[in-house]
Amino acid sequence: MTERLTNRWNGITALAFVAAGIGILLGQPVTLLLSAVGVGYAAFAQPRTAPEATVALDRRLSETDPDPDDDVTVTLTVTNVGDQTLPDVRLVDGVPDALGVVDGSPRRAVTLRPGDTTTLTYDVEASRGVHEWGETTVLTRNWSGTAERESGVTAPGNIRCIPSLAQDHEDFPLRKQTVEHAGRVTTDTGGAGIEFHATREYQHGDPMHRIDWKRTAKTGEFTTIQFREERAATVALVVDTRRDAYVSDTDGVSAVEHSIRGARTVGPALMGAGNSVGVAAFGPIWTWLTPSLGRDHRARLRETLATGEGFGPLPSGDRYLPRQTIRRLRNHLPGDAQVIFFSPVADDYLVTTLRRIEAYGHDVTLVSPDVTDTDTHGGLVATMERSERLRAVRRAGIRVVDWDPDTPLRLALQDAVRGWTR
Amino acid sequence: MSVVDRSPTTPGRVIALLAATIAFLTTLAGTAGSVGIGLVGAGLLALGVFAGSRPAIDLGALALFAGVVFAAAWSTSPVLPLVGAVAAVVAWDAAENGLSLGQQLGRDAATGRAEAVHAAVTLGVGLVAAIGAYAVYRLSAGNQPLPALVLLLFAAVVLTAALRD
Repeated sequence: MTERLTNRWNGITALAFVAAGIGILLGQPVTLLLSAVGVGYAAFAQPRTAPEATVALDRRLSETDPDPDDDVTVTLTVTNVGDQTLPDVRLVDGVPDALGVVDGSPRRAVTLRPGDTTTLTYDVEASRGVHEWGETTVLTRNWSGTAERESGVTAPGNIRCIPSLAQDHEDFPLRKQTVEHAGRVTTDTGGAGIEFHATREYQHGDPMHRIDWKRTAKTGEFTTIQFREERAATVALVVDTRRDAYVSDTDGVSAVEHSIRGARTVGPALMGAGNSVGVAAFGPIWTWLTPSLGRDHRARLRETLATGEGFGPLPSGDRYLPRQTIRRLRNHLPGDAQVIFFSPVADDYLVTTLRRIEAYGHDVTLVSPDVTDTDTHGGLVATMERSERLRAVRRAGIRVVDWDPDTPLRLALQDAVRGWTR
Repeated sequence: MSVVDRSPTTPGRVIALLAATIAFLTTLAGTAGSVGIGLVGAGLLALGVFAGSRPAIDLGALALFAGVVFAAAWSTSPVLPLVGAVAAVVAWDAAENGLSLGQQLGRDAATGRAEAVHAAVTLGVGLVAAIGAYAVYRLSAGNQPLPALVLLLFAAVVLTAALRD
């Protein structure tokens, strides 16, 4: 709580003196009389203390578990619980930084007599995450406005907005896998599966349904058809949450938000195909969910992507520690885990990072939401720099999905897969 | 996310311009000089409330007050000059208040009632002072010499200045 002088009536006494002086010089009683007005206001401006903010706040939210983009109506009731009139109360509600006000205003000026109540009503648009209302700033002034007192008053209020995981199970093409678990990643090993791989001579113990009966009928020899074996993979969805990744598109949505949306699509698709999926926030605040499967894990994945500390809707104020973060990722990743990295690739550092992860023996696929704006000169430069970086990433043998976030990720995947087939 | 417009509020602008117009009209009773000063003052104040400039508001109101003071030198009745002086102060007060509200809360915030109350109080204070002055003038007119009036008022001015530490 701070009290300050506004200095707004400074000089009013001088005004009275000037009027009196001119009146005397000109010998005009009427002019002289005007100094009385100045004197009156000087007396009015004499008190220099602002009243205490004797207000009680009550905040009501129309919904506390909204879906993303839902409008939540906030009703803030402010009552003067003191026994003195508050001549000039200026209110600024502590709307969470990540929420945008779409209708009404969270700010108001009022005069409150004892017991008087005023109600502020405004709508915010819900977005991913847990949002807590902060202190409401209450500025109280005295009648003449010479002094102002700033106080913070809190009233509880928070919303939890947990976007659901994508429903449509579009397959995400993982990189070839060499480790044993039945699943859907195709390998170069022949065995049970769907896609034809090769034929070989029948060996004792081969299942009957894989014997090539047509060939037996023709030649009398037994051959066994081998299919491409499909195996399950362990995948970590790593989201770039460093400050650089919070670049916004032209609508003001950050690349991190797009990346998380991408993870919400890719995660369930991979789990639906029998893969273990984990998530990591690659930024100042490390958040990690160990790869796993199952319904409970899906719920955990959804919760982590929505409210995980590292996945904040706004950049964290903490410092990003490059070595520590890389080491953590390396320590947490299971040995055979693939990495699907989500990043706008807004800096060169990321290219090096991806190369390093690949060098540690993890197959990396980069999904890069493109938030660059080609309408401005700066945007054009950023676009060119980004393409150059993506080229460098591809040269390192890393698969790249260049994704325009305005279109479904599925389309970007189809384009990318066409480029991968060699 | 929308950007908040931080220029002076609409009620502040309206009240300030209304009061400035009244103050300017009272300068018409004086000479061309007082009218000129008054016009410059009103114009500057109008500029100040639209551009959100505190110096323009302060200087404009000062010029407006000066115009009223000079016009009063040619006036035989104190009523019009007193009205003009109060109007000039009310115009400045509403403009400055609207400016600070605009800066602190933005133009889209509901501030009308608070500004109306604020202006009414300032007007009330001015009217009380003006009526008091008028009463003194009527009582002293004719039978009291001018110097007595001067000293009486000046004492009041000095007293106020002394009260302020």
